[in-house]
Parts: sequence; C-alpha cells; structure tokens
Amino acid sequence: MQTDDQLAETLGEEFHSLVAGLSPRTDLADRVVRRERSRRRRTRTVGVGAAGAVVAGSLAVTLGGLGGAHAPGLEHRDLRLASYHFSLPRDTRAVAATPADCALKATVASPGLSAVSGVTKPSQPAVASAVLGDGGCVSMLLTAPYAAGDPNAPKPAFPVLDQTPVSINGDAGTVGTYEFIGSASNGQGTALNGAKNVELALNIPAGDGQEQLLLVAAAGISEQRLKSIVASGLQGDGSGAQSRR
Amino acid sequence: MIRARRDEAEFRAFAERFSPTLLRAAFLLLRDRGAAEDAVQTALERTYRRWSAAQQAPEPYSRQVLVNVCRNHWRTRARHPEEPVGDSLAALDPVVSEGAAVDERLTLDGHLAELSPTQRAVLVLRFYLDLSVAETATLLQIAEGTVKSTTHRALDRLRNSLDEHPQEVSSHADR
Repeated sequence: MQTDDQLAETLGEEFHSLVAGLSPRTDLADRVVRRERSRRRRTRTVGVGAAGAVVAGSLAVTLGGLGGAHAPGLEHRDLRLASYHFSLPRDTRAVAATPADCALKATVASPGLSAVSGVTKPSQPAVASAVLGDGGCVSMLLTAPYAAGDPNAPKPAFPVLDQTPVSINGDAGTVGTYEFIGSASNGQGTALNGAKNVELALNIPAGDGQEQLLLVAAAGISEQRLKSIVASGLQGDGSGAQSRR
Repeated sequence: MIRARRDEAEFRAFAERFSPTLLRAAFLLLRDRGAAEDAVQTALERTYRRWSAAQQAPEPYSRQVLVNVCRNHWRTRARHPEEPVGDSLAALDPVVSEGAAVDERLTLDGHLAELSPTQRAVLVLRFYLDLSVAETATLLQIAEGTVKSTTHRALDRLRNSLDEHPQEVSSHADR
C-alpha cells in the first residue's frame, strides 16, 4: 500500500501525463488584448462624449456619452439630457453607453462661437445615447445656450440630405439623412461609413433671447419614431424642461 | 502610449509563456475542456485589466484569478446537476489509443471525479502546480490545517479506490 508521499508523487506524474497534449489556442493573447481594448474604448467613449473635443479654433463634439445619472448598461426607459427627459421604448437595452456596434457619430462645429458670444471658453454640451431593443441607436446632443440669431451658432457638421423643415412641440428645425464619413476625433474607427443615419436638428428657446441646438442622430429607427422620442421630451407643460419661453 | 505598448508587450509575453500551465491546471480542476478554456481566458482578461498591479507577480496573480473563476464555476454547477463530462481525456491526449495507458488515465480521471471540488483542487494545486501548503491555502482561502487534512483525506480516498481495482494498481506500479 502506497504512503501519502508515494501516492502524491505518482499523482503528480499522472497529472502531467494527463494534460501533456493540452495547449491553448495560438491567438489567446490576441483575443484577450482585443477584448480589453474594446472594453476600454466603450468606457472611454462615455468620458469623451461627455467632455467633447475642441479642434483648432472650432468646437467639435462627438455624440455618444453619459447622460444624466444613469449608470452604463442599466435598462431605462428615460433618456435624460440636461434637464430634459425623453421617453424611450420599453425594450431599450442600454442607456448612456455607446456600444461598438452602434457607432453613431454626429459632430457639431461652431467656428468662432466664443468670439461672438463673448464666452472665452465654449461650454461643453450635454450628450446622451441609448440602444433600443431592436438594435436601433439614438444619440443626442444639446449645446450650451447661445444668442438667438448668432451667425456663428453651432450647426451640424455633416451635410444633411433630403433636409425638410420640421416642428416639434412648437420648436422649429430640420430633419434629414446624413452619411458619416471618416472616424471620430477620439480615434475610434467603428464609424458607419456610407450608412445613412437620420438627423434631427431643433432650435430650442433657452430664455433671455438665447437658444440651444438639440441635435439627435439615429440609426435603425424610423424618422417618425425619432420624432416621437424627441417630442416626448419637449412637452409644453415644461416637465423636466428648462425655461423655454 | 509608450507605456501602454510596453505593458501590452509584457502581457503578451507572459500570456504566451504561462497560458499552457493555466489551461492544464484549469482542465484538471474543471474536468471539461470548454470550461477550462473559458476560465483561462477570463483569468487572463482580468489579469491584463489589472496589469499595473499584476505585473509585479503575474503568475501568482493569474493563478489566484483562475482559482476564483473555477470556484465560481463549481458553485454554479452545484446549483445545477452536473452533466457527464464529454470531452475529458479521450479527445485530448494523442496517446490515448495505446492500450494500458488508456485504462490507467481513464481510471485516474474516474477516481478524480469521485473527489469533491475542494479535494481535487488541493491535489491539483499541490501536486501538479507544486504549490506549498501555505500557497494552496491562500489560493483556496482556507486554513493551512484544512489543506493538510484535505490532502490526506483525498489521497486516502484515491488509494482506497485504486486498491479496489488491483489490476490497475499493478499496471500503474509497473510503469
């Protein structure tokens, strides 16, 4: 009968013999690094989207970031943007996170905003995004207030096709489609090049003769649905809205 | 950026060097290749995520993470009846077609299957990874005395099981 030591030694040899032919996949390290990079990009997008990016004398901001107090990954039906609350479909999968497969990029460029309005430092816009249950994506951006009629007011950077006037809850704007070209300033390369996204731009009164630009970009949802979502947050009763009249 | 590249290069070198050991340990612990591969990938991801801390001693760090992952796996399996292990040894060892070697290895695997997860873990950590009693206790978050007593009980159980099949014992001793 073997002693514990003898059996232990035999066991060790058997263990090594048992698994001698077992090897990991050759691309294991690659997979791990790729997955971690992807995870870090998703985390960084939240911060970059919220902070914005200033490019050589103009204000360029990438949509897709944290809106309100919702934590990434939690399901919510309420998309909060500054003091506005937009109602989302019940099957909304994620709020405040921009997943890699829904790379909506809408930039707002406003050259000279700080010089005209007298603000030495452009205020950062509020941003929020959500992924809907059927895979559609919505990204919103609300600029800081600017003087109504300011010729250097923020405007969408991409040319919008089929642009038509729209009025939502009394606020005038335009809706159309745009094609994202290139990659975002933060280096993310998952842009939907060539994809047609819906963009809705509204000028919202912000009181004291000022306005704010609400820019909403969407992919995978209809224009009508997008309008409904936007309308839900611009209720005339002022619920959740800043001083608008 | 330069530091990030250096970290990535160091991690890759570590992963390529140590992942075979991690995988083999995971397989012995979990007795399922798919589960073992998942566990190793998870362990390496978590190690890379905390590379600034882990790089001081990546081998013990990743071993701890792997054991934690395996323990979660056991807890999950305990809530659901364990299904027969499909691709344990037969599909993995290229030598498996050789007569007596097959019986011995399959027998040992069968005997190991009779041990509790903790008993199996103690044996794998001590006699495959050659860890000390103290290191094993730390990894499994149990007392050193428990490691010793568990080792003894597990070996006893194996011994009794092998003694019940004297043919395997003699063919085993003949090697």
